[in-house]
Amino acid sequence: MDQLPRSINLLPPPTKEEEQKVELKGRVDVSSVVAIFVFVLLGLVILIINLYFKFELQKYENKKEDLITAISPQDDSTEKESTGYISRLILSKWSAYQTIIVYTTSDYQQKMVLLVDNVDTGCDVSSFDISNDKTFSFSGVCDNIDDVFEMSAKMREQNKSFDWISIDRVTSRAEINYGSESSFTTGYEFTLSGMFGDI
Amino acid sequence: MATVGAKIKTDNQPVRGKLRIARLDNKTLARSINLLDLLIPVIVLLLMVVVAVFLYPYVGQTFEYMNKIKTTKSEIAALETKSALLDTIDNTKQEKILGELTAVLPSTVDVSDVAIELRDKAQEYDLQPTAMTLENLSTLSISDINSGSEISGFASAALPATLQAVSVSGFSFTGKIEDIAAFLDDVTTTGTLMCINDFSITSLEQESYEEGVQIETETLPVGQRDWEINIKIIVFMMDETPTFTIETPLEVVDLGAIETAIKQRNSDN
Repeated sequence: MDQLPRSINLLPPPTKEEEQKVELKGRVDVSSVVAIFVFVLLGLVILIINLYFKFELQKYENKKEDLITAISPQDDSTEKESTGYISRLILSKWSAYQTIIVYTTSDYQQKMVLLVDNVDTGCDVSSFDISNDKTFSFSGVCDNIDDVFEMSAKMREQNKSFDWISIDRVTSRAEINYGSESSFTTGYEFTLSGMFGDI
Repeated sequence: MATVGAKIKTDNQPVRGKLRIARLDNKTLARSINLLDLLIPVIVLLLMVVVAVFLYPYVGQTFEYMNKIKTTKSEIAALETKSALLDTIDNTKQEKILGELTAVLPSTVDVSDVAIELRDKAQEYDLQPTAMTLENLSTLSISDINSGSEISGFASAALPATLQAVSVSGFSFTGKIEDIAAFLDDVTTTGTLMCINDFSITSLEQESYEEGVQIETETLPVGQRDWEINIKIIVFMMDETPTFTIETPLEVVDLGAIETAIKQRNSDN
């Protein structure tokens, strides 16, 4: 008998890529499952953190409420005998007192002594005018006009006691002698004004 | 049959190679995308979107809780400080000091009480009251005081909003000039908080005496003669009603210093 001719496999063997594809065909792609799992886990973590902070906030708010309940009887704006109310009232009155006292202390004794001491011996003062803003004026009569200027100059030399001195008015005072039909000067009326310094 | 991108060799290639290429071409065709292939990625994507949409408010809420916790913690610290401070305050002593302070800076002013206070002080300095008519009584606001129309020297004073003053004139006294000056100092530095408006001291220089049937006058020296003073008094008052909430902090008040200052002011009374 003759041998059968050898069969020829017309189909070429699978290439490397075809083999890889056959290998992979049966497998399951887990990346999607992992992705879903990770997201679910992330969601759970976020929820747990949210709950944790929610309970923490509740805890602190409860603590705050307890403190407010404890303090309220002592610091009540509607209760005039509460410690906090009285404390605030004292503070506002004391603050006002300290502000006003600066503008009311006057030391009049020192000022009057200063004025009287500076009145020239040749002069007579009939009135003193003193203001709360430390300005003053006084009026009178001097025997001589020089006495007026000397008095003013003496006060000007005392820089610390007086901020400024000014002669507002000097007029001669005349008397008429009806017998001789003449007049003569009996003195000089003056007004001096000024401002006290830091005395 | 050829697909896009597939390389097709020419007829020069051996048959076997041609078959391989043809098979490869078929497999390339078989690898084109179909809906099944996209199913899982689409599901995953949808799930991601749903989870993100669901979780987003919770993320914002978490940050909100964190901020609120921070704020509440600082409020608790302030309340604890206030509680500790309140526990140290002697309320009995506070009430006593408030009483003394209110006597100096009262809530309301009774002008007749002021007149009596002035008369009593004048008597301490041998001054004779020549007039106590309580004229031109008016209530002054801060703007009245600052304007200088009633009293000078307060133009730059930063006075509290609840402060008021009562202005009253018609007080006249006579006496020696040193006594008048001491009286004025006493009025403004002791007792109820008040100040003297601009005033004038006028000399009563002549002293009359009889000599025979003639009445003679003699001009006395400045320090020896009597003077007359006419004054307007400005008395301060403050009717304060503190408004605050439980969260308002409490300032420390030096009760000792206030007590000392008020005692010093009232020491001559």
